[in-house]
Amino acid sequence: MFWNLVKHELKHRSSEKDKNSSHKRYIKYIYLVVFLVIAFVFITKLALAGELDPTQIWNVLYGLPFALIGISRAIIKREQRCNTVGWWLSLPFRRQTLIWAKFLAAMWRSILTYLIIFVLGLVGFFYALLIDPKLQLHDIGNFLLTGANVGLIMIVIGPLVIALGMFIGILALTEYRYLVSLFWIGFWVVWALVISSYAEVIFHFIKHQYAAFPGVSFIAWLPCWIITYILIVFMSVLLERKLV
Amino acid sequence: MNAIECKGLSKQFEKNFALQEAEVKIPENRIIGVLGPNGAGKSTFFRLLVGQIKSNTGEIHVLGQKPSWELNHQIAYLPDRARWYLDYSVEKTIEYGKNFLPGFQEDKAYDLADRMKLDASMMTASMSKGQEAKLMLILCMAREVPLVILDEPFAGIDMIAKEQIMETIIDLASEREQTILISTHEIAETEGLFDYVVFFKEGKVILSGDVEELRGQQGSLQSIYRELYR
Repeated sequence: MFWNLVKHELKHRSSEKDKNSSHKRYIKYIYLVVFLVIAFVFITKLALAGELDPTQIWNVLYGLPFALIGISRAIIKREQRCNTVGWWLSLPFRRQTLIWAKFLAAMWRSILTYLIIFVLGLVGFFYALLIDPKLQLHDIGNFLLTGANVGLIMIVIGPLVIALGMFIGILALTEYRYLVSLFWIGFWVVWALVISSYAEVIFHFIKHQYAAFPGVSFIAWLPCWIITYILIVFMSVLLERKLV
Repeated sequence: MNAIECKGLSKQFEKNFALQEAEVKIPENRIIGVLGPNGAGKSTFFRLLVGQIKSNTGEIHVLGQKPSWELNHQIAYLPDRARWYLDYSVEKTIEYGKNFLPGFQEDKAYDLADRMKLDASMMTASMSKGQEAKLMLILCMAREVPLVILDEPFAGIDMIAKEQIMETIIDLASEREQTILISTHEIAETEGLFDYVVFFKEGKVILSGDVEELRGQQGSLQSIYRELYR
């Protein structure tokens, strides 16, 4: 039964507003095309000038935590947007079961998002290979390892980021909903501080982290997953006692 | 025997009381109208019964137990202002019922869909509001459970759909031992449906009783309603 619940959560959801608004239905595709055009121009320009470090393509993955937080928040918010929150909350399951099902669905979507970016990155690399005389096929090894390392980091911190996104969504359903904007501001400030202060360190870590694996990853993995679990329990308590 | 008993029930949202010291007793195996204008506390009362929210004070007993997710195995609940998932067909909705809702009878659900002229392949996204309301009603009425709670099932739908829904409720109620709670403020069209009523006003129960007795004492439900809320 639990896996049926996860399957239910994996379905695409659109609201009445989305149904009636054709531009909203296609907006994500428009964003994707704009992003691909920018990436294409960027790669072409640098590759023709012989200045492209292909691992820079993975810089795009700095945006992944935002994508994950958006995916996970949306998986809660869509129940509100579609006016189905009453159905969701009256299902005869523990609150924690309901949250775990959404969490796993968000995890699956996040993995898919990462894989799509990985494949697009690979396409970018082969395109650069065609037009950049300095780039060689054997560079692909380093390129792939850098991309895979980001994936590894996502396995470590992804669940925590997803739980945070869901937490924001759940908070909006409770009597503490006034804290949502405060939480957002905090998230942006922390992220901006981390990136502005440690961007080079993080990127260096991403590029060379496979040498240190598995020790470093394991140290980070355990606390991240423990905090994720605590957040999930906390969310179920909020749903149980503080709904409005 | 009472299906629901509440004593001193209060629920406060920020500074407003949705329910204030409400005393409610609802007999079992009847069709009960929970009546009152918007903001009277009907939906809050229902949400307390299914354990979606907790009361600030008071006691609730539903089917002899305190509200909980376990008790929802025995309650079919249609939430207020609910819509159904747009990407579900009638068939998928029935599958949802079979997968997640205890006591859900697949055959009964197809039977009801047939009666309400909902084709199995029809998608929610292409339905009218009345058809969607019928589909959600199927999810509740195809369940063999002792308590059914329908929060404003007639809101915003046309007269023909309303009549079909009422006929279905009456037919099913006569086949089963089920307590059916229905909230509405559309008394004129639904008066014939109820055999027991509870009137809410400003978070309190101001009148409740057997419909026949109330009619005998005070006239039609519509005139009682006018009198109470004027």
